[in-house]
Amino acid sequence: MKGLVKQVGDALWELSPTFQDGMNVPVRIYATPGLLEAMDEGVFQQAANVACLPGIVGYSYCMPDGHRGYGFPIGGVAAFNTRDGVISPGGIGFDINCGMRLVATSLTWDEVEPCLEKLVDLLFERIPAGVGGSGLLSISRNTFRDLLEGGMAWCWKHGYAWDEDLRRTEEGGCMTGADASTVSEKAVERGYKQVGTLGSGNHYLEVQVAKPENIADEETARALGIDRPNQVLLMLHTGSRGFGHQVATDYLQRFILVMNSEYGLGIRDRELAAAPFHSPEGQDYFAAMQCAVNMAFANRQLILYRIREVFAELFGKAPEELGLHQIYDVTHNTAKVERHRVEGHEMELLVHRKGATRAFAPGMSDIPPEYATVGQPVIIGGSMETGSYLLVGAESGAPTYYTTAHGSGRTMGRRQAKRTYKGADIQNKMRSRGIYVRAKSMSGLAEEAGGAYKSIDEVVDAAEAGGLSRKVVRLVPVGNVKG
Amino acid sequence: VPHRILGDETTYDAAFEAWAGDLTALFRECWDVTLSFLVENPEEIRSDAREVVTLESDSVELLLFEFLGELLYRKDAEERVYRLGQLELDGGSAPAPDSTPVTDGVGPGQDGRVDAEESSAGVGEPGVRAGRGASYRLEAEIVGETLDPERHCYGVDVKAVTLYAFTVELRDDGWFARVVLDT
Repeated sequence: MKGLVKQVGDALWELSPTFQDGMNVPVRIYATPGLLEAMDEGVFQQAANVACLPGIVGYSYCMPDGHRGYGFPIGGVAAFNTRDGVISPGGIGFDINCGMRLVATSLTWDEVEPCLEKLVDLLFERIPAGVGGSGLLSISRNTFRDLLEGGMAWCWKHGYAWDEDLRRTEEGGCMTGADASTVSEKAVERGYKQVGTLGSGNHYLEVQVAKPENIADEETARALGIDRPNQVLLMLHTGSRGFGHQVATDYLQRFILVMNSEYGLGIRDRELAAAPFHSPEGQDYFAAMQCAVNMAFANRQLILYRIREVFAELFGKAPEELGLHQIYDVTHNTAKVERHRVEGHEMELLVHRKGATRAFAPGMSDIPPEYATVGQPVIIGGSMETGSYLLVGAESGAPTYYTTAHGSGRTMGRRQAKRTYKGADIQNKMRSRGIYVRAKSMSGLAEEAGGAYKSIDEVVDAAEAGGLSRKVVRLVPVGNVKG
Repeated sequence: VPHRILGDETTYDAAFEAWAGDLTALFRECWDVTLSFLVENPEEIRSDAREVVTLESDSVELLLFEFLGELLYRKDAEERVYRLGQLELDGGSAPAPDSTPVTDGVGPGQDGRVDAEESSAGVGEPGVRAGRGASYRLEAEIVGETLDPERHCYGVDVKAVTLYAFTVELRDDGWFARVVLDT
């Protein structure tokens, strides 16, 4: 199948619609030759299956960190005409609004290094992580419904967020179409105690350093708040927890029952279950999905609130004095209505991004005013051993609806990683390299070994070569809290 | 061998195949394996709480999907982990006359990979249905306790059952299931 892919640009490859019956558009994959070679065959097949969905426009895209997912590939981007296209939970992912948040400090590595272990230990103690777990909020089910509709605005109203936190979050931290009446009682029951929990798997909170030699664009870095050598930052990766999974599960079941009988939709994989966007089922799911988006924004906000508390306690200063300013919060599992140009015509589209990050260019709307000239920040999480990136969107990202990669992408299955690595060995090896890790699960730690992931550098280079985003700074890990 | 863990490739967060002589044993095996991903020492789970779960569906696949999903839901909603006690399943001792074969799962290759997308057939509603007007009914006694990080050795937080390559079917040698979990 890979042999059928033809190079059509810098780091850009195409699979023709003749590859498979029913494809409405071609597939386009952004990758270096090395990344393309490393992609499993399932990525191409899944991207081709997505190309068969009704109402898709342009191309079925896959980002440089793409790998096989459930239905859609991870790294998949697909836009559907809102008039006659579909919405698919599988194109968003179970962990709705799984996303990244990057927070600056005014501290340098010299100031943090002496108390790194104490800092990581405190974060590990104070931020719930791992299997299940109650969060930092004790709220009723009805209050949780308010939170679902308010997102970070709810957090701000109740004193958990600063003004600038909302401004520096995609969608201002609240998708306004959220309607809690479209969410099942089960989802509410599952989620109302989980706000402010990190979770497990590849979710983490990391202490990072921006070393001068890793800054690719000093002017942009300064504009984003990285303005001193060896500045310490915090990166957070988590999503909507069990709540988002329940929303996805509920609607997957509902779509399966009607997609053929009511709408005559034939699909090639049940994880691509879909409904017309403007159908009752489609609109209900879109409203419920927005609740999960808002829940995840609030989840990350509550964790930031606790991070600020821990820093204030440890360093004996107010969070404001310690410069704990959020740089940005961006989601990589969503569907959003946006306007883009396709084949010369501006269209209203429902853009599905699954394991893919919106990367708006300088001057576009929905970017904080202070970042208007540099573009939307993009946060790319790497493995806990190798590092992460802060990027910005670029004008040349228009073909992918201004979308870029989201992480490094796995090269090794979790089971294989557990057989290859031992959690305690990883922890010791990282400690000897100056990275202090606390984890709830040692087997979970083994699954996240750096060797189980693609090279983050190659992914980011491919995204830049393809014009999707621009490098600002590479961040190196020094401390990590894992579920 | 009652089950085999899959996952030597990048798709699966956690996945397995299970075999059993009857549906009741198959459902039990599927939950036991799912539980072993969550808690690495499930034998330590005490019987402090006892509940009964009752589910019905005209599709045995959806019944397993809902059953596993129900226990995962309780893990978050009640913050409890459960083992299975008595399990009764009616209506599925044999495929019904109008049973529809599952079309989206081809067999695993030599490396254990499962390529749902490689099936050329379109995929519709779940297969293996009960006869018209009939349904599968499950009643499960579940016993368990509150999650306790001091005693329970956590694995990964399984949060959902996916329909990716999800299969329940009657084969010549008994019932077979393939389950891919999202973590």
